[in-house]
Amino acid sequence: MDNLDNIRLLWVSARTSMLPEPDAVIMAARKYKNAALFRTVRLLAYAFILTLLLITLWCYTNPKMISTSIGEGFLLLAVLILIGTNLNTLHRFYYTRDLNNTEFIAFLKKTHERQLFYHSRTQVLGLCCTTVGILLYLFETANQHAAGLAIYIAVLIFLIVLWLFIRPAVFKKQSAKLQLLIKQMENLASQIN
Amino acid sequence: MDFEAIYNEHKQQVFRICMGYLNDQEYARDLTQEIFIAIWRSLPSFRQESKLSTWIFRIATNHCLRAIENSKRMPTTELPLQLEDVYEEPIEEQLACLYKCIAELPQMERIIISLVLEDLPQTEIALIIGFEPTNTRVKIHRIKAKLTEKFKKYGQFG
Repeated sequence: MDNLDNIRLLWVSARTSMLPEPDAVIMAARKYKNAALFRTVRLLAYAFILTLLLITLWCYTNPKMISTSIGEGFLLLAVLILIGTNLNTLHRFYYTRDLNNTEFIAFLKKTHERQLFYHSRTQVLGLCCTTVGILLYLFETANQHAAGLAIYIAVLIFLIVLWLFIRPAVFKKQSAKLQLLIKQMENLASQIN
Repeated sequence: MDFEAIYNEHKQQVFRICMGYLNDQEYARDLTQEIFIAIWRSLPSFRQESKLSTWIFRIATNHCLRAIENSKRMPTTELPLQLEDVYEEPIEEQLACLYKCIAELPQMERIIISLVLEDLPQTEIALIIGFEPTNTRVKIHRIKAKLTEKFKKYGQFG
């Protein structure tokens, strides 16, 4: 074996008999597409139902305190943020770009930076709206019944745990992973230049 | 365009490129399937602005690059379809050595040499990677020399 042509002959000798038949790949593709789409569509459907429910509550209940209406407004805003983010995901699912490796690496880096932005800003904004919304919305109920007060305290404790323990831990993990991916993309880009 | 014809024509090339990049037969088989799922999904949007093979190799190599995101091996439960467990055929010693030599190269060089070994013209490789055509020849020459040197080091010439 003394030149690249011989290496090439060796290269093409790789066995590929274990690869599936085209029908199996098409079947897998259909299943995968449906499953991936179903998850996003289901989340969007829940968000739309929740929006409708909030609007209906706004129209048909007669809250005495202004805090209840403001709370509903904040919750509605949180749901709209969720819908906006997921519609974007749905768009990306259908929109496939024809990119060369250099463009693709830049695209992946940008995507990871956007995910980092989402985790550090958009997600926090959504959580803030949800927290303020829930606390304001339940305030009237807590004022009226002892049971309502108990629920309010339980929700408050959960929100404190969420903000002080769960969210920082999840963010730290996600942020470290995304920063590592961004670094890896920079390394790939440097191999091209 | 007929997906079945595309699959039958390119599956071996795509598998070999995955094998060159990953040096893991099972992972390469799964990634090949994932790549063809992406091709099947994107086929209606293929506008024939480039050659079909260029488009396919762009998708294939981009998926290889994306494998970096799976720091661990892709869990099989997330695979779109559970393939039957296939007995992993032992790789011939020389071929295993070739994969080992390629695996020692940086990621982009692994992709470039795989495309070279698939006998793709330099202009097409430049379009897949996104190189300036003038730089491609020099880079390819350097990577070829690096690979043959490694191959020699492992005592495969003679």
